[in-house]
Amino acid sequence: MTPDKSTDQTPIDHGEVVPHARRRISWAWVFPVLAAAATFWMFWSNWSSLGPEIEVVFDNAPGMEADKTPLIFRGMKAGEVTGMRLGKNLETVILTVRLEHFAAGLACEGTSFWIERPVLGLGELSGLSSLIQGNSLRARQGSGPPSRHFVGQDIPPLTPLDSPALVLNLQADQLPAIERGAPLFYRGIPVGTVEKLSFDATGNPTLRVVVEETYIDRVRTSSRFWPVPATSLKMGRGGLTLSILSLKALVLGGLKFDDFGEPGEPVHDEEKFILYADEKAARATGDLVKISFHDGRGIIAGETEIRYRGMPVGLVESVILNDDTQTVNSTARFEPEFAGLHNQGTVFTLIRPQISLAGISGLDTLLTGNYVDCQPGPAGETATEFAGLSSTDSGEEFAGSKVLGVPISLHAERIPHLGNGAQIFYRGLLAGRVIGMSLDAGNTPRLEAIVRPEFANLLTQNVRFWSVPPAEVQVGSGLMHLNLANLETLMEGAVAFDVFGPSEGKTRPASEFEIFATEAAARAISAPARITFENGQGLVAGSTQVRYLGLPVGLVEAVQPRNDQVEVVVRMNGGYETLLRAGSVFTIVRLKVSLDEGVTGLETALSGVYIECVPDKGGAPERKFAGVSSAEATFKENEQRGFEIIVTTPQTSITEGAPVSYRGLTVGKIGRKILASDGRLIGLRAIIDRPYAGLIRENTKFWNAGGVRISMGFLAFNVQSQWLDSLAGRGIAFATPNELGDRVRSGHEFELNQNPRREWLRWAPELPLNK
Amino acid sequence: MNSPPPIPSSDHLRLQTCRALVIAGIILYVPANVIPVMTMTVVGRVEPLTVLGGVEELYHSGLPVIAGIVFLASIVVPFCKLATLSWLLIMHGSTECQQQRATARRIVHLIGSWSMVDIFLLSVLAAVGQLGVLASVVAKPGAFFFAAVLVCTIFASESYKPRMIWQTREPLET
Repeated sequence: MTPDKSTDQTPIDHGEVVPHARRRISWAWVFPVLAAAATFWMFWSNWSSLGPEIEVVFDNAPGMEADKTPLIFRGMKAGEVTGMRLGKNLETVILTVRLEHFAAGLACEGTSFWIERPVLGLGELSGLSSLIQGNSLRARQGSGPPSRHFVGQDIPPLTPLDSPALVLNLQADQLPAIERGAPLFYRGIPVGTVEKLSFDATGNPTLRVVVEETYIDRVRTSSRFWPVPATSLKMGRGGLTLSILSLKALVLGGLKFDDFGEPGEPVHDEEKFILYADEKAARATGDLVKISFHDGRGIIAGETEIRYRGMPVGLVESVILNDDTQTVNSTARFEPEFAGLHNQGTVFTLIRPQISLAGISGLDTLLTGNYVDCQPGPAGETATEFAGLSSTDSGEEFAGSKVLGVPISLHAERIPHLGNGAQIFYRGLLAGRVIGMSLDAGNTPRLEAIVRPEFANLLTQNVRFWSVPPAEVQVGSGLMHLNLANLETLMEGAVAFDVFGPSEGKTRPASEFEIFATEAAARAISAPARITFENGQGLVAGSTQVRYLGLPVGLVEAVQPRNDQVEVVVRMNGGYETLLRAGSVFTIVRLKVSLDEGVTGLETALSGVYIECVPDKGGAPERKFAGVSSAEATFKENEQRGFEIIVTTPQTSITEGAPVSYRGLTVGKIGRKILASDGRLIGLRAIIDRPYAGLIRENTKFWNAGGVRISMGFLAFNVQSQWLDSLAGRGIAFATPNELGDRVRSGHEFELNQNPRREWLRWAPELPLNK
Repeated sequence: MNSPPPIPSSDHLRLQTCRALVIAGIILYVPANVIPVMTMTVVGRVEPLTVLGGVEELYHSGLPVIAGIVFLASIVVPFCKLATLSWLLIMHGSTECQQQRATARRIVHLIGSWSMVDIFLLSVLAAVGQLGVLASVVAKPGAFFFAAVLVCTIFASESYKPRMIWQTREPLET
């Protein structure tokens, strides 16, 4: 079929098409042309984007890889490290970098190259991207003639983008704690950074500071620089102010600058400035003024201010002893805008705190330090030398005959910390002031004080003085109070007095008093009583209280050992001396945790232990007591109101204080364990509460109750363990038969059974209670 | 048969098309292997990869088998295709090795349908490998050249019909 078909068709096709086909050119030839063009364009564009090749020399080049590490300029890839080799002597690494065409401008002198790597410093956290992308080469453009060879920098510059805008050199005698990278603030705005700390040619420390381009015009020839403390704590009448400039400054320190007075000319690069010690020193830029004082106490160079109407206007720069050693010369500088204040006739007065009955003058100096007050005279020529006065020159005003008040003296073994001028209060009213301190002949410290006349008639022998703590924390049940006295008390301390005890029976006036450490000590006015305890743990002289029915009625004055016991000297508050009677029971109350009684004495956890007093009603007044332990006290207390019987047993683990129960109801307690009369048995003295005394009859049966029983299956084991028993609170129980026996007398002995018989538990007699 | 069957005029065009495409393929083969076909950005690190570089990368990352496959598919195969087609075109009209040439053309034709597997792989990679900051794969101009080489070879082998192996010059001149 096929040959036939072809022979049929070929004559027609052959003759017509062949000559044409020979000349026809396939359109497909477009492809090689296109391909060649595209390839050529590709290579050409690649080649044309290549910039010059440069060489950068580094001491070491960590993380650099040929053909991989990019050169980054302003965040853009501006080239690539194409090769690395070591220099001669193997001392340097030479990186070959192929720049992109557009970055050809980087190949000029002044361009700095550095290796960006992660820096985790105190003040800077940079190059974090290098952590994941690897180190890269960075550049900062210079502006010199074209160059091909560069020396790389080891430390990345702090202002990486632009060439440094303005470089200043700050000189100081001594540099404050400032680190590289510390911020420079202008009115609170960071405008630059400390780039370098070094020494200049003369050996003085110099700070190289770079100011950002935007803020160049803020720096003037008149600018003053000073370091700022990273944190400052200011105390004033308004309270405490803690200011932290910035976290960065906290770590690295910081600098500030500002203009005072007329702004000067714009500055040039590499200008030199002086770094002042602090803001006050920086502000005082005016003329030098010399002031001589007779007494230079309290003038501190660089700290003492000169004030005019309370406004700081200058600073004392130096204090030196004059050649004739009679006066003290100080030099001071005024702030430029106050230069007019020192003319002829200006009076400079050194202000120190002064105390008088009227109050304290110059109290502000307590907070701000002494200062020099400036009172300009009538307009006159500017002068630079002055003779200064002192506010205390006029004499000791508060002492001597000028005092309008009653002088008194206060003494103590150890006087509290009080300043001169400390206030004396009577029930909150300001009644006087402390004016001095001294030691008397017997080496007892003594406080001299004056009291206003209107309070003078209060000063009788029964007046008690005590020092007021500046701050007091009171811990009560569930509440805590913090009392802060007023600022003056906080600074100087204070004294208070009052009359305690019976006010009738006018006592004669006095001018010598003892001062007590606390108000509680002052209140305890009774004659001392002595109590001996087995154990004085937790007793603190001067703070442990004596309480009666929970109320504080006295104070422990002294705790001392005596004959293997602890002797406690106690004074009672006025009106409570009657508690000191023969038969009164004193017990130390401590925090106690037991399973039987739970937690007792919990309040002592906050207030400390105290001595509880249970007074005897009709005893004669007594001054010596033997304190009892708490268990004994309870026992004594019970004894007074209970009915005592004795339960005997050969051996028992029942402890003192264990409950005595009747059908589950606790009706009494085991008081104490004794050896029974014949010595063969143990006797448990059980105190039965009076209302239940009628339950005890001759035929009453007692048995061990409580304890721990561990049952296994149908067998019941009575596991006896002293430890477990004490844990579970073992006691004794009793039952009385339905046929009541006779009543027993106090002290009757019963036998203790180990277990109850069944019928005992069924006994339910009718009992005449409370009869 | 004394005289060979006459050559259809369209075969001349086919021959020209084939030649043009093979030449274009050879030209494009150079940039396809020199210019990166893709850039892999893994955790910020930009890595431009040429075809050979990709194979190397795969080999070094412990995948020699896959590296071998990719090397075969993207370097050896296109090269062999171009070589084979060139050989066919050079030998065109000759009476030698006609049997082998027929076999070679058949193989080239057969492989032709698989030769885009590389580009397909790259496009899948570029589409899937977008993990934001962590990693991304972007096709680069090299891939275009590479694809162009493959397209050229496919159409070249398509336009060279098996019968053209047996078309000799002698009968044409008679």
